[in-house]
Amino acid sequence: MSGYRRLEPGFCRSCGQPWTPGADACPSCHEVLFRTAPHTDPHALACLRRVLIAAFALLAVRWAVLLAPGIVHATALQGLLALGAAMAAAVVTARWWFSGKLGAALRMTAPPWAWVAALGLGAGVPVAFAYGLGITNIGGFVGGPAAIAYYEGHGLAAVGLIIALSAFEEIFFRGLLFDGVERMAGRASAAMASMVVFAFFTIDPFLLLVGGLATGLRAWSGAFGPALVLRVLGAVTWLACLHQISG
Amino acid sequence: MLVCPRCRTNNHGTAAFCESCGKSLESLREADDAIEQMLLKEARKGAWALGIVAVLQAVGALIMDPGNWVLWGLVLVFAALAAWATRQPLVASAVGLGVFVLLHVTEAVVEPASIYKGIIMKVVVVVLLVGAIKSALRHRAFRLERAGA
Repeated sequence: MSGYRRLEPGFCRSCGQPWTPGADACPSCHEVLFRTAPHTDPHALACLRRVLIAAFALLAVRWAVLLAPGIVHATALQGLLALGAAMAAAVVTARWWFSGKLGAALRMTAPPWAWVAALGLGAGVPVAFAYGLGITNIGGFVGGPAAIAYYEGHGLAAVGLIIALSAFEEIFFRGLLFDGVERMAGRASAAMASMVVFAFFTIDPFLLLVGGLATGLRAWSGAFGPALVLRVLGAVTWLACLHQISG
Repeated sequence: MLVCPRCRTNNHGTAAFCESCGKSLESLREADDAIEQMLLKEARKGAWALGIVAVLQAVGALIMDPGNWVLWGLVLVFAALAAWATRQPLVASAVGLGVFVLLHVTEAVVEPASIYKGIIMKVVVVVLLVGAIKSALRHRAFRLERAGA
């Protein structure tokens, strides 16, 4: 509500009674002369459009990597490199295409419980997932036997890429995408959009679980920092579990 | 914005009486409410499109491979998108359209003959979702204009 069109109306727009000159509110119905303007973010629609285009462009890259001839699985080093390059490009160029304030999207200040939850979940979930479900039963996904052998073969390069990719994914999905949708449609919709797009991006049960938890942390704490810690710590713990299981 | 039929004063979109001459604007406001509701109803057609996709995915999963969790995951995702589209038609329809197009483009790349499989249904879903996005944008613009923003 932006208030009356004229500073001194002749009649109350709510009850139709003559307006008392000089009054700030209608004496009959208490309709006020001035109201606070609604929060209308001028960048919201442009931001939503751009962030969704970027998200689906990244999804296209991800699925192209999955389907590319010669790359059996996206955990192959070339696939990881292509994905990492695409994610890094999206994040590094965000200052030009992301309408609005990048700082607000990537806010790190969060309540202490959020950091504690991020550390606990980041360390605990991969361990529970690896040893509780038995990762060798999830053939074809990140924890499959082929993937374990692959990580072992490429050592630090694969490890570094996986950790960097986790960080870039978080910056994009829980930072830029979440904030871009939240400005237009609210926090619940932002969480939903972030989870759906991330689900199609990863197609992996472990990452779906960790992504869901990171989205929950982002939504409840209102900051992106704990989600980033959860994902990066989760990636490190997961790799440590893989290393130990593969002997 | 409501223009008073008696004195031509521009009034706020939610005004019940003209602030200049006091004439009742109830009928104009009701007309605007009806337009807003119609646009919202159009925007919610995206939920139908996404619901149809969810049902078709469920039938496909039952016929092809009932034990495949990925297929049931897709059913769940599209059902969730359909439910979401009843509350947030713009974002849900946009995300649903992107996911739907991506899935079918991928399918076409892997198996080019699949382009023509269910082509009418694919076109109907895309048209419905694009229409829902357009209506949701019109609804938003109309609502902002009424609020005087």
